[in-house]
Amino acid sequence: MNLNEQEKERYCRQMLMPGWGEEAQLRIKQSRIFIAGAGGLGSPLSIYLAVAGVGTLRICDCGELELSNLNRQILHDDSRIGWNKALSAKLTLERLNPDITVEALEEKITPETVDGLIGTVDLIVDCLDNFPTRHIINGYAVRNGIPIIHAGVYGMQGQITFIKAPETPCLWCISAGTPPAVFPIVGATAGVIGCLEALEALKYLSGVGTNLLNRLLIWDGQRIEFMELPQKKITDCPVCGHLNKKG
Amino acid sequence: MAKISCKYFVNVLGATKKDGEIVDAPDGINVEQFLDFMSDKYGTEFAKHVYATGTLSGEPFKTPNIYLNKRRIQWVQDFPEGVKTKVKDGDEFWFGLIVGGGAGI
Repeated sequence: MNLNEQEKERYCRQMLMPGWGEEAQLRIKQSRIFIAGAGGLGSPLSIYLAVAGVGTLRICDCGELELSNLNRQILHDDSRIGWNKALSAKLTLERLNPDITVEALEEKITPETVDGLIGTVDLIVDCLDNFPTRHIINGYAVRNGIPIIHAGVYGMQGQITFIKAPETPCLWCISAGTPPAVFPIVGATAGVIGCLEALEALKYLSGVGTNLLNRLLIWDGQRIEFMELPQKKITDCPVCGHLNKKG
Repeated sequence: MAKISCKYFVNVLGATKKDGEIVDAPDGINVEQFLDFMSDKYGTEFAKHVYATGTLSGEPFKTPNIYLNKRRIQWVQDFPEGVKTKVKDGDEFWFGLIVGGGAGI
């Protein structure tokens, strides 16, 4: 597989980054990413991954677009109210970059469906709003040795970390809670954190830069302040604890 | 009284109406007792976010949703006594770091 002339031109500005070049761009083209959610976080994330030339995006969302989503879910517009969000995302992303493949998955992620939905990918990106589903994908990632970029937002605050168990804690080690079903959110907050997720993904795929391993980055938009918390494994973690014992 | 620095994030902001403060806590109390003290101070809206609850593989869990001095209280390497760890003057608690996301799937 090579980059064609159109791709070389489309991606020339990012290929100017030291250490990137055609080699890293080709790795990005050959990559498959699973995106859990085509909502507030999934919108900026998938847009930036698409235009950066990630070869295959598997985007999963069983939800239908509602008017109240449109303050932040910039993949979609008024004309698609009632559409499945994954299908709407596919249409938008393929228009933005016709050289990539977008697979729209309309099923709900459950313990029974997770294996078939995620399949074989290089990276999973968490763009969810609930921890039960996050813990399902976390379990899949730990079982299959696939890294996850975890992020969440609330109001003007957000958090992000790069999970690669057993090198890092898994999501269970970091967070085990359940936020309320409906929460306040300013669309630009999802933009900030979703873009950071995209950057983390592109760094991982390209090999340029370092990821947020063992660090939880917290964004406070009310103060315009980034904070950071170190992260550690929980010794008896029910999800990844067995990996620590092997190590 | 011990002076405890408290920082509030996301869902607990609704209960505290401020993002941080210095709290005077009774001397000699442990983390668990401090969480009860704070829950009494701010009521049920705050209390419901102090502990994360749910199930994993069918097993119920309940775990404090806090950081003490930028470390999770669950880290036995740092807090071998867990929630029984004594609270000291100058300690810093962060509440409410579990946040939402983008898609309810």
